[in-house]
Amino acid sequence: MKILTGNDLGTGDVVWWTGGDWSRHVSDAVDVDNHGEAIAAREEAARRVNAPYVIDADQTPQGPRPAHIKDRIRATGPSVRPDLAVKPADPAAGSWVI
Amino acid sequence: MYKYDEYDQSIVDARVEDFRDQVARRIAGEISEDQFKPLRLMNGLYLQLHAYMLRVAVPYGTMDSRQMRMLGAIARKYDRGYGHFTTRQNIQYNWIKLEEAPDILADLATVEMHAIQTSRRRRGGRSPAVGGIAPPVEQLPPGIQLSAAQVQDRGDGIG
Repeated sequence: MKILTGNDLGTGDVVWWTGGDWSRHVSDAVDVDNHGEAIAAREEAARRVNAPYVIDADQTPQGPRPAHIKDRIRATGPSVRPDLAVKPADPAAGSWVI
Repeated sequence: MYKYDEYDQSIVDARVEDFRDQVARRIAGEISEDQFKPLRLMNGLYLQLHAYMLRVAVPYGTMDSRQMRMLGAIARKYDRGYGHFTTRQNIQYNWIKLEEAPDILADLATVEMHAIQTSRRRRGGRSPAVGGIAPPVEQLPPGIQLSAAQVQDRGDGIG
């Protein structure tokens, strides 16, 4: 599957396209098929996202899992500060990244 | 320690207001990210893996306690209570909001600090030492020292 990601313009937060909006949680991401570039262009022009790009992901029972580790780290939060992670209380986050 | 003279202070203060205007125009959609990116990098503001990052220069690696306290105050007020001292004679804040970046630079200017040219993408893409374009002397930030090779590269006789 293909999913769309970027950063929030104001905060820089990592965000994921949910089909109608942007979420901080990759589990909310939807398959954009071959529409990713068009959605990215439209959303960036409206300043609802900054520097969006399309990535490959695998659909899993827990939701989409980005194919590249860079985006799994982006989805999880800083590995050096797990207390500042997107889900700080999730003990399985580390194994999900690797 | 390096101390600002009146010209240094006026250059830094003017740069803060320039950047404030540029950020406002970016948020308002008057300029695109492609247009804004070199402007924010010239002021030390990066978009990194998890958020915006602001890299603040520590010229010559020396600070007084007034400046150190301001760095702590900025971490508490604008970031998450911490910063990252790096091997590049600077401190990086990792959770900066775009609209607050000009306020941070204004606070830094009150203690003779700035984030100008802390990025390699500052002007001409590369350091003059490796073939980039040197900025005019009047655009150099306070506390910047050119190497002999850089002065020679300039070819303008200014040393």
